[in-house]
Amino acid sequence: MSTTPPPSSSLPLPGTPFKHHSGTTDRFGPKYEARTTTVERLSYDMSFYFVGPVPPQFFLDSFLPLTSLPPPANVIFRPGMFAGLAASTKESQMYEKLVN
Amino acid sequence: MGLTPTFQVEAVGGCIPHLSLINTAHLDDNVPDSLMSFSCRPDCTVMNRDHIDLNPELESKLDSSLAEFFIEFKTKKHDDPFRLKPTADNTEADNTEGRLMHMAKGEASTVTGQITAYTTSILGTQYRTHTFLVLIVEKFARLIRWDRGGAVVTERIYYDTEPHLFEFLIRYNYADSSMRGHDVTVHDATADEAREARIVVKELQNVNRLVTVDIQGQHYVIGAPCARPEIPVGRWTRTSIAYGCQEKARVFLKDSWRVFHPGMIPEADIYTTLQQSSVRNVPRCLVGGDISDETYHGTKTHNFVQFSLNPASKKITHYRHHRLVLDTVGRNLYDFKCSKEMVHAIHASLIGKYIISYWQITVF
Repeated sequence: MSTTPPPSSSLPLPGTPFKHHSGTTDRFGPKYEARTTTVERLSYDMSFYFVGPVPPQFFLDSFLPLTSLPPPANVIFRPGMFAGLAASTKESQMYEKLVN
Repeated sequence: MGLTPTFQVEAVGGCIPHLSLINTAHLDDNVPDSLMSFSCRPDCTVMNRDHIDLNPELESKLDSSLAEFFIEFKTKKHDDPFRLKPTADNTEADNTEGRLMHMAKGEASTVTGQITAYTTSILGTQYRTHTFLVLIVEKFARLIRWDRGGAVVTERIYYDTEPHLFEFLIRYNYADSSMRGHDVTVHDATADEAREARIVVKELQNVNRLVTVDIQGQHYVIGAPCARPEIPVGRWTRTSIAYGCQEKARVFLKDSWRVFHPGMIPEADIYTTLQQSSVRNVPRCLVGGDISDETYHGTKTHNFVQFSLNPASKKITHYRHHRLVLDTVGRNLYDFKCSKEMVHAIHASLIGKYIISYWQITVF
């Protein structure tokens, strides 16, 4: 005869290979978590996988090597060309300064 | 949220004609399918100009399934999540002082989660081998390259006096699809492919966007992938009920990034061995193997661990892109009619996997 609640012996023992992952447990659970919770979780989980800092020239030559690219047109970096962006104090200004 | 016009980057003149930058700070993501619990709103989305030319409406929309990469702006120096030697005033003295990169706490940690979510929204909704992200914090920028192994971060680039941010935009503009991180073995399904797929595979009838995957010259139509709220790192196994254009049948396609280690046998090879040994109760692998070569379909992050003294970074795994197609399409556990049916299925699989294969072959 069943009892409510069930006897504790019927519950999985500690160490039972039960995967406590949302993909296996959340069919009837909440489908969404708060933005803050997700962002915090992603931040923690990802923190183990950042590598660097890498010198920027090495980064460019490793991932976007010029040898594999067509020769760029007459494009020359001029110091000061992003002065407006660097002087921005608001994020909304930064977009405008980058594109204008 | 009002009109958000597109601009060319006039700061770099007409030097990036193949790219468009869109202000998406106040736009919700219009990606058709996503399991993300919130809408990502990156400050700036870099799009391929070709998409805008084909569909001008994209000038005022955010669709991470079409984005090249994102640019995120921060105005406070302490929003930089990557510090070499954190100090009491949350500043970083110099890029060259040390090579130990710390992850910052507090608000900067939120930035880490934010840019990770943005990256997942691209790598989750597209078939990409890698993507980039530009983080601009006050007067400096960091370039980040993400793949399934991890993320490689640059030193600070003081973009107004150093050329690297400018050069990144120029090089990206002229890079081919593979170098940009697009998986060239996947393309939008043709009208004929989509029509046939929807007739044969009922699961594809109501899917918004279908793509065709090439595996060793064989074509399979599947639904476009969707983002899920996980970090973009890892095997990222994506399974699909597919339409086989050659077989003209419903099949099962598995796309994943397998751990690349000399001692590990690729899954497709195991299936081949099982088939050659006539092991029963095992699905037949129609086609499978590693995709293309290592150039773009292998992760690169592990090659850069020498730049980081962070012990956690030493565990970066090398992954290799792998796909296989099985002729048997399984059912979800919760679709089983009764527990007896499930027990029968497990019993049959155990016979195939452990009992017969143990005596006939030595792959395990």
